[in-house]
Amino acid sequence: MRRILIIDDEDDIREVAALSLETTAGWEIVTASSGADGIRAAANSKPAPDAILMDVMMPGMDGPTTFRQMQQNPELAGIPVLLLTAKVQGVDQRRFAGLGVSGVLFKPFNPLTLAAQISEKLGWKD
Amino acid sequence: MSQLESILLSIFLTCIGLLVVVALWLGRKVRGQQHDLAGLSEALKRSHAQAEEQKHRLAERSDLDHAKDEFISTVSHELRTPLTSIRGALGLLSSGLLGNVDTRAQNLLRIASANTERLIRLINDILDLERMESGRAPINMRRCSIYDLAREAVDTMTALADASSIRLELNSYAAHEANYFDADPDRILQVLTNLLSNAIKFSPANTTVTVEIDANADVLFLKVIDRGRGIPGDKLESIFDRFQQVESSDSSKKGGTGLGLAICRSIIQQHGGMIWAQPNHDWAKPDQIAPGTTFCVQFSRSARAGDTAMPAMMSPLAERGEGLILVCDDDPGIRTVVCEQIRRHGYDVIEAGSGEEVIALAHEQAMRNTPLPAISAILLDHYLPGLSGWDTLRQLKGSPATAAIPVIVLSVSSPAERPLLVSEAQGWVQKPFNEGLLLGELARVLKSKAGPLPIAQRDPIASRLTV
Repeated sequence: MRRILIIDDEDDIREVAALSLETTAGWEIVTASSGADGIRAAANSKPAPDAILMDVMMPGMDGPTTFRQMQQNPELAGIPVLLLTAKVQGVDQRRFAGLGVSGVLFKPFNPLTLAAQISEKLGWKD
Repeated sequence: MSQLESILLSIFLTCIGLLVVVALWLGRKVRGQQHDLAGLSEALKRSHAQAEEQKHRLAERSDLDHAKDEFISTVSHELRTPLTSIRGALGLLSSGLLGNVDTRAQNLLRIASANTERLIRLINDILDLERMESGRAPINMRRCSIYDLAREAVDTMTALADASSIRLELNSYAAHEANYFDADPDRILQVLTNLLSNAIKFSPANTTVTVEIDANADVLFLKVIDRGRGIPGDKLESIFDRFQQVESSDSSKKGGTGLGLAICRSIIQQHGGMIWAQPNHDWAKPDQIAPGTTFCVQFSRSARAGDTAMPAMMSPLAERGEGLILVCDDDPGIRTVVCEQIRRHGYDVIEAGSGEEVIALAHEQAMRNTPLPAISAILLDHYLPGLSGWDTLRQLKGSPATAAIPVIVLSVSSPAERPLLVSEAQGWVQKPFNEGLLLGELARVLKSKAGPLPIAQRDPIASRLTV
């Protein structure tokens, strides 16, 4: 079973995204409400998450900063990260692409196809 | 005194006299020239002051534009966040994945879901339109086939058409190679699917929506023909404006955003093309107007990438213009902005606030009664108080002195609505326009027309005067 870590400061979005992935794909979900919590959750998770779905705009450490910190931690650097953002401007997309994340997904996502989108971005066949 | 001496003396006196006359004449001439030059330098100072003032106003405007963009981007982000939770919750509930709900609750969930989707489309469309009209939407020009794009649009929309029992048909009258043109395929596909989606929405069941393509060496032409209820004559133009629909209830009944055609128009204009709607014409019954509407899209091959669509996206350093442009608009704000935009690209500019002023200035210039070079083109507002844009254009074209000056009409109307005006004018820019559209059309008209005399052949003093 896949294990996904969702990092988002919005409680409602965390809950909806978790429910969506659990019910449509049967994945196991771990959540965190900030970048710092997310890094801790990723490091403490046994087994490590198969992927991290992370919001971009968060108070404290934002998504890109959290991603860069994870890249400096050898234990976390190998986990694929997908950014989930409400920013759809071309300029933001180019900035995200330059970070080296595994992909960018947009809010508002479709709860029935979110798992399929994640699988497609990460090349998961199952 | 000998006769010789008196002759020499008289010659000497005559010479002195001549010298005095020449000196006086030269003096006056120099004073005159000094006066001319002083006038010229005053005019230059004034125009520089004007240019500075306009630059300042433009900078203020650009700050305002920036603030507006920032605001729209933030609002769009702030709206998306709660919508994510709403869409997620409604989507999961109505999918039945969490257990079945009773029929009435299911219906309420369907209504809430459909309207959430509509709200999301609306936010996306507003952002899309705003980006395009501010000239920041990236357009990626490539060689593509209008037929292939129409085929793809038809294929994409077939499921929607089937659901409403409507048949889609694609006919091409163009030779295979004539289908190719330079465009952004994603954007053109967006226009075609939008036109098809509208045609399907407004067609009764068991009718056909036809896409027709025709192309030759100069233009590509595409029509989307429906057999729906038709569009009243007074709405044929306004439906391309934001949030304008034939019936005010259309957006809620048909689930549209009211921005689709405005987006289509922006995209087509970025490609240097034209889009308009007209009632169907039944050639078998020429007296009667057949039900339904035809949406027409026309691309001119001469208005390709480098000429029109790209300047909006490229740096202002792209291609420098050259020539004197007469700008006429009765709105001083629009005039200021237009003048500054074209001046920044190297053109010289003179301004007029009315049709009468345009006629007078054009004749003065044609007769070389002023120190300015010949007018290369006229940008003419369509709706002018007093002498209308149309009458001004006719007078210009009717006078041999001014008939050869190319005229670009600036109008809120589409060219289709004013066929007579189109046939007289050399260019057309539909308001609201951006800098790229305006400069693209100006460059296209100046290139396609046998332009004004080269600088070297003009009056040498005049050609040095740059405003």
